[in-house]
Amino acid sequence: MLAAAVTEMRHIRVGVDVGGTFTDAVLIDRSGRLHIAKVRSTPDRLADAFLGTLDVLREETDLDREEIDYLVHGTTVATNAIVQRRMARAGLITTSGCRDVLEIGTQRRPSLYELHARKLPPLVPRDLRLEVSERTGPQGEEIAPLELADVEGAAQQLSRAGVEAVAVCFLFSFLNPAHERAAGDALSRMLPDVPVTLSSDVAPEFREYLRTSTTVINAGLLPLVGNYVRELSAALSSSGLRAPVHLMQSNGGIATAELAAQLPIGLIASGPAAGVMGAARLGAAVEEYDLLSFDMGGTTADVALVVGGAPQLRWRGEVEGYPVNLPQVDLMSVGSGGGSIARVDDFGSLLVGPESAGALPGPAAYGFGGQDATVTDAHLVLGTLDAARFLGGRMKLDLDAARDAVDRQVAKPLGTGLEEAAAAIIRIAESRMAGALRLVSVGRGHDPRGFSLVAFGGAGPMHACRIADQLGVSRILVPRHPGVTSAQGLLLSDMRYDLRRTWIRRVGELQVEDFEAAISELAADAEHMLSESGFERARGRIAYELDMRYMGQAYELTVSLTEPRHRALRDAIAEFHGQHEATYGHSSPVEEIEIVTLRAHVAMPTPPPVWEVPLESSDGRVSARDVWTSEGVERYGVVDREVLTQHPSEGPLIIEQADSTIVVPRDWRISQVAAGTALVERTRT
Amino acid sequence: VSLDPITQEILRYAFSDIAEEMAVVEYRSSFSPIIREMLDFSCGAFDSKGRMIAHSEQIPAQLGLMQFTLQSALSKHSVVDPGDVLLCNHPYQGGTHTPDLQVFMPVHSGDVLVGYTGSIAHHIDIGGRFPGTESTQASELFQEGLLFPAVKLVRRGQRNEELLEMISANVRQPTATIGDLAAQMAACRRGIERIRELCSRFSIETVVEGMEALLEQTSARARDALRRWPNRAVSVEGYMDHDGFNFDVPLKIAATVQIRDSKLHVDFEGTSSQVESGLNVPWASTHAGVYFGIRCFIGKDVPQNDGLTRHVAITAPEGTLLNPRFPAAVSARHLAVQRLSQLLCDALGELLPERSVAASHVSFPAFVFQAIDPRTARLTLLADILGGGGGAGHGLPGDNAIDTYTSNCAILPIEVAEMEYPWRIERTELAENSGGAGRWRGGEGIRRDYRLLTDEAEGPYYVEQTRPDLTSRGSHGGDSAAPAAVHVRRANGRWEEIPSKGHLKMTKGEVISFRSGGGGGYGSL
Repeated sequence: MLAAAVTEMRHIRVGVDVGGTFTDAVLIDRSGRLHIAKVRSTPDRLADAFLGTLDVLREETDLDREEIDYLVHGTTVATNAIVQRRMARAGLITTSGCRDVLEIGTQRRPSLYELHARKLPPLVPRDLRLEVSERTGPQGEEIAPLELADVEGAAQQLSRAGVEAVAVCFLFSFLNPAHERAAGDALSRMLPDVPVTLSSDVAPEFREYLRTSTTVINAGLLPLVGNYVRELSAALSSSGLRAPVHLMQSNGGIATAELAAQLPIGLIASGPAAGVMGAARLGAAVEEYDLLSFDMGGTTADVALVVGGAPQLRWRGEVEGYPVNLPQVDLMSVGSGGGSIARVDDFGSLLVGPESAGALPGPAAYGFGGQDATVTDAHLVLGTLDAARFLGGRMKLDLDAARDAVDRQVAKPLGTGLEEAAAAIIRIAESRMAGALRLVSVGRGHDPRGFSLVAFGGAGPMHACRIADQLGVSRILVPRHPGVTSAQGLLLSDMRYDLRRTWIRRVGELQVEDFEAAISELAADAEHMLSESGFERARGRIAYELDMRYMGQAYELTVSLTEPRHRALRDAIAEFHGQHEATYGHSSPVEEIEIVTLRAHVAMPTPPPVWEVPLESSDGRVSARDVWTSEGVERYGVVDREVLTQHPSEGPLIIEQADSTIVVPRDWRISQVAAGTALVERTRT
Repeated sequence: VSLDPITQEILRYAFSDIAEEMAVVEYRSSFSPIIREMLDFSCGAFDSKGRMIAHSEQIPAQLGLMQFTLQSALSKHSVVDPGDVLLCNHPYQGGTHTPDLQVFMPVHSGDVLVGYTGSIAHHIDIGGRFPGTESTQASELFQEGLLFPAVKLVRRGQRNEELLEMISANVRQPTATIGDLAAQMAACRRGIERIRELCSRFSIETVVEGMEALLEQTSARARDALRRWPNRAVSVEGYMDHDGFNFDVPLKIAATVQIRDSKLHVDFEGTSSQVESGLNVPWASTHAGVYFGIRCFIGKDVPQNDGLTRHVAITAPEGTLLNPRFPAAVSARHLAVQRLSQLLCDALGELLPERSVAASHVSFPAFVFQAIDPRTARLTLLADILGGGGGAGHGLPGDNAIDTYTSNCAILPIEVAEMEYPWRIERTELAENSGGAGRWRGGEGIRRDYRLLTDEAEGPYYVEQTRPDLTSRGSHGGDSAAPAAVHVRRANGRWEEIPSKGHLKMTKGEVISFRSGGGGGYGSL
């Protein structure tokens, strides 16, 4: 079985991350060596760039496609479909009296003070939202039977309207899915070519609007993502690839393409999740498990928290303003990237981002006609970037254009010198990014000072030390290839499936048999999932968790349940009180506790990275240049990444490599550790 | 020494991040659905003089007035020690209605007082004559539950247990009230930690200067914006259906706005006298309603803090609906605040026509019904607030189903309601054709039906805009919206319309149905 072969270390593995601007691929060969390909993305025909990276890898490695044993793909196909409104025409069937729940939403306004702001349009228009007679009550009891005639009528109506997918969301289906399943069966009979999504399958948790929104988005994505996966698989196999395609999901786990295509809403954060997984696994390779993942690219910086080696998940999020109720990596994105635009408003406030010059026209220094001063332009002015050596010298930058833009857009309006203006742009961008890292760490009850920062993306390693200063962080890890860390993350992630069930009970009134029955039902589903995944059972892991809250609260904290037994509950309760104290600053051991959700996570671990990175010895200093900082001009040594060694080099230093630049200020030092990762440490506090 | 603009900008972001983080701490650990599901609360950070510096983006009706309450509290307590917690809600001491409990804590870095953090939250019940405390049927303040005239709930970290016992003994849901207070204090403590961190990163002096600079910069922005507004006087008037007792007598709100000397003057001369019901508006709430209207027109780059509000002068004759004399009842003041902020948007829209839109609904159906849940034998208080139609603008139809103006509450999820209360929500739908017609049509209101599943329930309820002549007006030839209404389906299956404000007793199987108003249309067809 191919999936089982994945866990063999000496196989050829390929990860392909299709992003908005670039498609990145990494290949690990039989000897554990890493190969990289980067090509421009082809938004209209995504498969072209995908195959393009494989061509580059073949030239570099002489390995034919049929020799590839395992292939994982990070994709933006689901997100793009939502952004570009290319979702399928979907119908929605609800409990009678509830068809407008989707449109009413929370009834909150998109903007408090803008009388011209408007709510997002509902994803299913009113004439495609139909009601059927049925009702389930808050204990899962049937209040009114499902009228199958209503379902049939709705199916006919939707069929006449030409819908391409149907979503079904009934009240309390998370407690008793019988009516949804019966309706789903009837729909499949009557509309055999139209995919159906049941809310009890996709998002079995309470709050009808969140669940309806999630279900409708999934339905709208099904045809498109299904086609994409089919076409990609066909193109790959006709080009000689024999390995099946796997996809990265928003929860940081891998699924077979077939399974992932059945739950396309699980792909909305596929790309960013791969980056966080890369950070987590590259950290683990050097025995660092508590990490702040910091990925800074051209338009945004994405930050996330990794605790004990596991990326932190959240159970609710949103995509393009629409709520989504599905586990996903708890990622926060701020509009600070290399292309972020700096400007001074009429009252002398310097603003940086969220507007971005993107790849086109890009920063002024790109010479593609951009007139705005960006973060990248500021780096050129300060000397942290060298105009002659950007992307390893493959792209020449225009220093004068950068100086002119920063002078015109920022220095003159602020009435400061050129370098002060550039330093101010960097300080403001770094302060926003540190703020985001503070929110995902301190805001979730974790002290960042005990964490190491993993800096990647082309721009991340340039800012890491200054951001670390603001957070009190004293260790930074920079992966060997910061520009393709997400693609590496694809190869380092486990297969993973999340199962959950809303099960609201007071802990004080819990019946032991009742609890064990519910959790063992979930355990049986998890075992089934594992046997379906094609792995040897012995290699799989199932972890259990409970969402708990104090009676009367609405937001839960997730704690682990060490085994699917009642006796494990005592530790879970103790963990709940502790977590509540850490997160919210208060807890109450006498307060009654409620269990809300039972969770099971099925995982199939991949082996750790085995790539070998040659360590050359050298004293490292190849040149030097003046760099302007907010404290004045300082002479920085400049070395190539290739010559870093286990022996630490003291800052101030600039480390250059093709896909990134590391800035190591005074009072910091850098050395090479395992797997080619660089460790940057503060030498004085 | 003036602060460099870069540090100032960094601090500005930091202050508003702090207020938002406080809000997250609060709603995630709160107990009452009105806070945790409907988000009827706000958080803020203040300087050492009690002036608002930053706030979370939740309920405008609450934001505008926190600094009145804090400043009133500080005039009473000359010393607030580290670890003290002030509890306030007195409507005649800078507060709003009694269920909005406000908690303030001082922020010290070392021995230096840097500022205050605060939280305001609508508690489900704070005692008094009516379940949920709030009712149009109250005839004086003393029926509106407990009054907290800026008392110390905590002294130097020591909780005042006797005060907490007093509170528990006087409210209908003591566990939720005490839990929600704990969440408010947790939010304030989180804010304190964050501001202290800023002080250690930048120095106390820098943070204090950053606060001052933010107010000065806001003031400069506000002055500049107001200077560009036309300085002619604009007068508007509008009406509320009735006071809850005299059903045929509408209440008038009249306002005149004019710029003089870069200051916006708002005068409510001509407004009806105060009434013997809960509809009167505390003075601070009148300010909150006015500030909301101004923010809709002054532009995004002028935040709401003292730098803006110092350019606004509000006058109203004493003894009127918007400036009542103690001890007039005020608990249902929100209906008049909504109407006044809608009128202010009309007035400013006349001054600045390119920013004007048709009127949005201010019908604001809301209620609290008390019933014993047979599943748990516990007393429950079901509360809900319905949004309605938004006003259309040029090129823009009005939104369907939004909570408007100074309110921004979420609707209660059906599944939460049915799990926690002995009620079934039979339908939740758009009220068809309730928006005003026009080239761009006004948004639709909401209809929601609640069926009682236990023997009996009672409580106050209200709805505005039920008179056909007082619905949301259209603009530029657009039509007015349909009126709101409240009906009850009796056990015999017959529907009957009931007075739009009152106190209702229901029995098992009866259904109460609220329909909110639509928004006004824009442009003639």
